[in-house]
Amino acid sequence: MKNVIETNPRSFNIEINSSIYSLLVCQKACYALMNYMSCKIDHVGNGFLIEINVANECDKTLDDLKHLLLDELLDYALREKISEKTELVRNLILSNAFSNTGLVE
Amino acid sequence: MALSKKFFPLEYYSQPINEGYQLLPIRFHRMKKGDYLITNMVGEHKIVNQEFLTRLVEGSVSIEDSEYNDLKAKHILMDRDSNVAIDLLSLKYRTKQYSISQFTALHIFVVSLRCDYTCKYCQVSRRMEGDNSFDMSENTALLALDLVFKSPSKAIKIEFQGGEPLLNFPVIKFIVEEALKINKTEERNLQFVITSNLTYLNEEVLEFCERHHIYISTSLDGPEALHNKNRPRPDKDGYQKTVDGIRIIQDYLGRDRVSALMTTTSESLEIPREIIDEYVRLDLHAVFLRPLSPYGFALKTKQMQKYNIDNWLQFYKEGLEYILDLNKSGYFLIEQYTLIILKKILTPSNPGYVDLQSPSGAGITAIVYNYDGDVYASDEARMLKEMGDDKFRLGSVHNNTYEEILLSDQLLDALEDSLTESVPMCTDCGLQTYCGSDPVYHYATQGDVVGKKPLSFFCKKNTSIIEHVFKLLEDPENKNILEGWIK
Repeated sequence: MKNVIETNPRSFNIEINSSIYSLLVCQKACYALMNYMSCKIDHVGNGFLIEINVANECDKTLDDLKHLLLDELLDYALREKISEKTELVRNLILSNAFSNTGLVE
Repeated sequence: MALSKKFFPLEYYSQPINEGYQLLPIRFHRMKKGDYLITNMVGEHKIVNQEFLTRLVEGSVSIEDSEYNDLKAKHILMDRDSNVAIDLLSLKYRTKQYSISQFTALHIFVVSLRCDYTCKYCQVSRRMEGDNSFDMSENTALLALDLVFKSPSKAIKIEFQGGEPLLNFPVIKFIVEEALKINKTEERNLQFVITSNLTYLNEEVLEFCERHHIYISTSLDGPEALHNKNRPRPDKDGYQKTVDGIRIIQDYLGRDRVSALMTTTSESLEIPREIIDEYVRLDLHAVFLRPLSPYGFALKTKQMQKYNIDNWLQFYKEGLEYILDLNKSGYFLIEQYTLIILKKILTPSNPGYVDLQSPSGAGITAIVYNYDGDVYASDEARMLKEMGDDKFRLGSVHNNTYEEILLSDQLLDALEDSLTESVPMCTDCGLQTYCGSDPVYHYATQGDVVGKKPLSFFCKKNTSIIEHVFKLLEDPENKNILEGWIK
């Protein structure tokens, strides 16, 4: 699913299977870690390649950063699933909450 | 104002739930220990492990599971027996958002920029004591009052700020008396607060405050040496004047009529207990542990560079631990910011704190009328203007109507762009219902009203405080004390 390729002491790449993690999930996971790293995401074969450069002021090890990124990927994938499963009911609740307020056309 | 996106008709949602449960809209936040905090749309919450969260989302939590009924009661899931959950959750959501419909409740009048102090962290733009060209005039005050009562809010709080507002006490008296006249027909719940360093507190001020039930708020940074270092006066007697003033107000007006807050400088970091002891010594029962704000003299004098968010959080946590210890020993003392967070976590209401709302409270919960009639979305917005950036200047009481000011693009664009429900990271954050949006802060620090939250002091501060409050709530004795603050 994810191949981690170390390129130099301050950067590494991760290959992502797009059938498991969407592009949006990858983008959100990278965004959440921008205080530690900058990321470049490209299409590669059936997935994505994330090229990661560690920020100069980051004091975490590469291992720490890999784990953080994998945790974020898992979390955002779960959030994506929740969003899909609850979109209809969320809209119903919002609609119901503001019914008779004149705010909903 | 209508929502731009229409909802599907009700029939669209009427498909029955035949088996299992329907997950309700939730977000989650990974806590430090690896547990997950699940929150629903109104802040009801539950802490679970990762395996349980995954099972919950996949629909494989069983009715036999010991957590099932709790999840159902907290509107994290619903099943065939709980279709009323939609109505209840809708009602709670509307309650949470009620304050938006009330619009502006806090109206800040900057009646003078003059001040006798030269505080190194001052976020406003003080002027020399004798220079009354920076005082609000009666004409400007009347025009501002006209806008105040255009707000639909049933509760109106008028707060006098400066500089030192008591240096223009005649205009404070004028505004109070005019506001009371207008309120005879408006019948709002009208309240007044003077934010003062207490130097110019005298019999006339006290008598006026007593007659009109005016509250007084002041600054007390801690022990004498620290207070005088942070808040210098030419005579080096700021601490004594403040302490004397607090005692006089307590005796004259009553103990509930004066409150104080502190600002953390690098010199404060090592002595949270000594700072809090000052409050206890003065029989004050609330303290607000505040970091520096990145505006005005705090930037000019490089105070902001002297500590980082981790330093401040350690100070806050040590201070809060001491406050809890004092409560355990029988002295009732609350920490104001923690109380705001607690209300958001434990009650269905929204405490209406300007910096912790979405849409942001800037301009719509609070608004600032400057001495010259210029109107700003917040005190911080006023400071930005003094630093040469009028991004959040909404207009002037002299030239603009209420509609022009409150519907200005400067305000509406910032509010819309910074909604936590739609900005990167916040949109997915499990702490969203406890947090808020601060476009002025993020514009000042990152040049963008949204701000990159992984790099944001605001985000780290609130995330850490909320996590810490949840940790404290795990201890029954702490929980009992913290719940007592809300009551």
